[in-house]
Amino acid sequence: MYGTKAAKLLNSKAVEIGDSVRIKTDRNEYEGLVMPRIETGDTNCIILKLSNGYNIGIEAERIKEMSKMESKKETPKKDKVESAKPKKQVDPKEEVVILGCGGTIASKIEYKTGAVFPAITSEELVESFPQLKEKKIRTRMLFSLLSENVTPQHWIEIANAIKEEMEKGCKGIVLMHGTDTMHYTAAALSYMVKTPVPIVLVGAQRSSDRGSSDNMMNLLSAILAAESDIAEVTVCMHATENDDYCYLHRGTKVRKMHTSRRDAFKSINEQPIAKVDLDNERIEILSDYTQRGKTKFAIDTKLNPNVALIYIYPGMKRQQLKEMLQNHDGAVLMGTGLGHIPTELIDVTKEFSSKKPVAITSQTIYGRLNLNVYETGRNMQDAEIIGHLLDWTPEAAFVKLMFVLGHSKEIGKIREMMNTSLAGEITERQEE
Amino acid sequence: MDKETTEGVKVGLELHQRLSTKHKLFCKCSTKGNEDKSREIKRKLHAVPSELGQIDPAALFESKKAPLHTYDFYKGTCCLVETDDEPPHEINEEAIEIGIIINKMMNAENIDEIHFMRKTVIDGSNTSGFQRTAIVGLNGKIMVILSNGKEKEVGIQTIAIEEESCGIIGEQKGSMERFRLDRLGIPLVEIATTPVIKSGKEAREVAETIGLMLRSTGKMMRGIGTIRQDINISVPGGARVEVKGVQDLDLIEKVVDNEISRQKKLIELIQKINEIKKKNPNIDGELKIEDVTDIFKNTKSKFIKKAVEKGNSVLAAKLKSMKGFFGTELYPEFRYGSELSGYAKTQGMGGIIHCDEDMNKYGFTEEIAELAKKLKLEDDDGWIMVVGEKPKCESALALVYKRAYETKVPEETRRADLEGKTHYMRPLPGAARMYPETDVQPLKITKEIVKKAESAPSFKEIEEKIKKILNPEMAQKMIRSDKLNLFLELIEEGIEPTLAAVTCEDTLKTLRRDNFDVGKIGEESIKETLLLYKEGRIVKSAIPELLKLISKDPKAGAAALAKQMKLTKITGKELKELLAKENIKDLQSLMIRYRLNVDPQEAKEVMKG
Repeated sequence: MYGTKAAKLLNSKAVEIGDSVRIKTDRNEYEGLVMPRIETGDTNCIILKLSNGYNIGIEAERIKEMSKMESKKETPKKDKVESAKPKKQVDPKEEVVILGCGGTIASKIEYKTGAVFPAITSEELVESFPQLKEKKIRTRMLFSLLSENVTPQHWIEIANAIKEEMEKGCKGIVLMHGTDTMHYTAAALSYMVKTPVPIVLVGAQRSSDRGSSDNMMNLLSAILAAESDIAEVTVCMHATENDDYCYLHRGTKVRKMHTSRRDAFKSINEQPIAKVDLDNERIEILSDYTQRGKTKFAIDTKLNPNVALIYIYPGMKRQQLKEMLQNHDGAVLMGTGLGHIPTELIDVTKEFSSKKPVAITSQTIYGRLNLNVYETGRNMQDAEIIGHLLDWTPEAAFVKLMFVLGHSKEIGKIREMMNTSLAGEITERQEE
Repeated sequence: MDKETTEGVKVGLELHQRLSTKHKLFCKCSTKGNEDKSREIKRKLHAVPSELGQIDPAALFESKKAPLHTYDFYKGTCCLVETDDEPPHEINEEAIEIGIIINKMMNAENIDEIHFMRKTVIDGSNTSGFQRTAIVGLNGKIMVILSNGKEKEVGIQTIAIEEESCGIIGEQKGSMERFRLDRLGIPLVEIATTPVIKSGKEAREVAETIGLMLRSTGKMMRGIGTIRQDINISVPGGARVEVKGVQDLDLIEKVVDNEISRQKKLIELIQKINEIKKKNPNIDGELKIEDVTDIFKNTKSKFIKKAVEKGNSVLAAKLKSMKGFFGTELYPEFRYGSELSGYAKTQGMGGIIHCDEDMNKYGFTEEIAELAKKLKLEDDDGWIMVVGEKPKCESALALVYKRAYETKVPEETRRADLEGKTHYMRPLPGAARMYPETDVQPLKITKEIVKKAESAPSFKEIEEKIKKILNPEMAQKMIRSDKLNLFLELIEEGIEPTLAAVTCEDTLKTLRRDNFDVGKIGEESIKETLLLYKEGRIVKSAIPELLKLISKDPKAGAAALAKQMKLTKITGKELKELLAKENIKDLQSLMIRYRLNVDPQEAKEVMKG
């Protein structure tokens, strides 16, 4: 939105965004298209796109004259002829379903303004990835959200969409998702869906407008994984900073570990399931997995999202923790080191955990919890805090507690379920 | 060139000069390169469709050509911003300030708010697939004094601050290319002139003037490759051709004149091509590629034999009625055949063999009759041949054939070589290549930034100053010198202006003529030498001698060399002692032996007693 002075000038000349104008300053004369104002910077500078493609900002106050030359040209609508072409009949069971949930991978840029829009239709998707034309796929856009805005309700929506597609039949499922919370969604689907086919989550760390985007390689690798024998909920992303291969991570063991690198996703406390070598269309298995067809499809979307995830910090006050815990049906704490919380906080936690489940995870992310080694840990075991000897990620534990609370209200049963690996979130041995 | 030959010729320059800022344009990496390589990164770039679903022809061309690139990563000069694994940081305001200084110098209007754009580049030279660039100034003009003494006004269309690309290290034909990441992101200024230049000579003079205006700011990086020019050239009836990467000022003149000649000769050839096409309207679709590998099975041509043994193919095609065309000279040592060869090279070929060449240079003659038979050649038919991997040969022949019958001078981007010839690179980029860099916030040019920049002296002020302190001839020389900055620094240090100018210009020239490697004498060493003189530690006549020594041992340091090689001044008591000890009575015999150590003025006075 333009600031008052700029808006006033544009209004007085009946100039709208996208119109072409001639502007005179005290020194020069310029022609160009009026661009929408980006939020930051001086909103009283009018942004003009010159014929050489550059944008410049000119202060409204310095503009002596402005005249409209031509009204905004509508972008020509593309003929729908191409998409109307009769599609070759393919057995739905042979198709990979691509479900869209938004995020960088599915976004398109409007080149004039630089604004990023979600690709909403399947046609737009194929347009962005011409290689998809050769693939046996069908696409369906569920919603278009930046993943920080994805909620447990959306996880359920996705699970239900998976169910519908499974009923139609498919070879595998690829879920395009924003990367920020992709590991939460992957964990949620791991608990909620028992699958005989691969369900692969995929995203992109670099925007799709740039030649260097990782979107293409990640998506095509995910499709390859969805056609494979690995019938689990997984995340498929760049394995290294090179454009060489992707890793397939188990949905409950994966975590975004870098703000920006292509290889931000890492398997925590285990090897990735497989290496996906797109160039050679080859999948190299690195660890155990569930084979295609061994599991009967089922979904169970009962969740209780009223769970707190609390980061413990030095100097944290009893009252603060108490307030964070109250009104929740369960809590996951991110403790320090082997899984500790300050001694001072143990009795507050104990009070809560006598009625409601409290699970511990570690801020170190890597490694196994052990509440035997120090007195604090032993006292935490007394307080019946769940987590001793587990190697889960905070997010996998957090989503798991929602799932478990959706299934039982009985504290003993809850503790038992939390201590049992439901979807590979807990492993008993660690070799590295 | 005479008036007739320059009529309608339009030449515009785009000068790129690296700025000597402390950090890169969008991160805190150093701009000073090193050889501390720590790792390699391998990336692919793909063509991205524009908003209309079109892929830019230039971008598509590059993405087909080069699928995988290797980037060398150097410690201290590269970070995740260069590897495209982290968004850009804030704009380096030091670079923008330099832009504002240049605006003032070139009478351009400051932009109130700077918006960085992404310019799509997918030849691999930018890891992101685009170059960040922003206009800081518009509509400037400069006056250029031409060598004929006339003044010429040259418009400055745009002044932009942009990111330098990766340095290319080696090219493995066809697929992989290797780049160095340390150069990526160094700020550079791009000055684009209006197309008012009429000849190669003028282009050179304009480039020289702009170059020295930039240097006079004292904010430009020095050294090989820190400046390069792109040149846009068109002649009436020809086309706009962009020649990339002319690094040497001396080449500009040749490149421009060659290009003007190339377009004019092509226009003449096109008339003949039109005649052929009139008789054979479907000729564009009549390419028939013949595999003639068998004919060369037992060839005496070593290079063909070797290639065939490696499993390569020899493919040939007839070009109807084109005999004699390929030998047509477009400019000295560049024929229509060389022109077409440039197209084959983009497909990974070494070049083409054509009918207008002397086959003795390839070492075969016997096969020609058989070749003619196979291609069913008639009298005036020409032929071309390529050797290499079969699919690549096929695409090369298709491209060359299409180009051969072109009836318009193609708009294209060409690359300049070190001889001033240009070679086809890719089609001209379309307009869809620029869009906003949304990761970088716009930068308001505040009054403070402008004030700071404007306190820097203008080039005119510098010119005036020099005219006041040097004689007219020397002043002209100095204003045009690439040592202008050093000169300004020297007089700042209190060196006498004429001595500074003579040393920078005449002395170095004389040394070069006498075969001393002047390139090894750094500006710091020149400064150090003149300061030694100013401090009375050497005499004037020792200056050239000391510079000679420096050129042979640049690392030793001027003071150390002077001492070591007995070039230090003998003065005062020491001088008197010398005169007494050696019993020297007259100035002449003193100077014969101690010219490089004794100031004659002082000696005269001492001798007078």
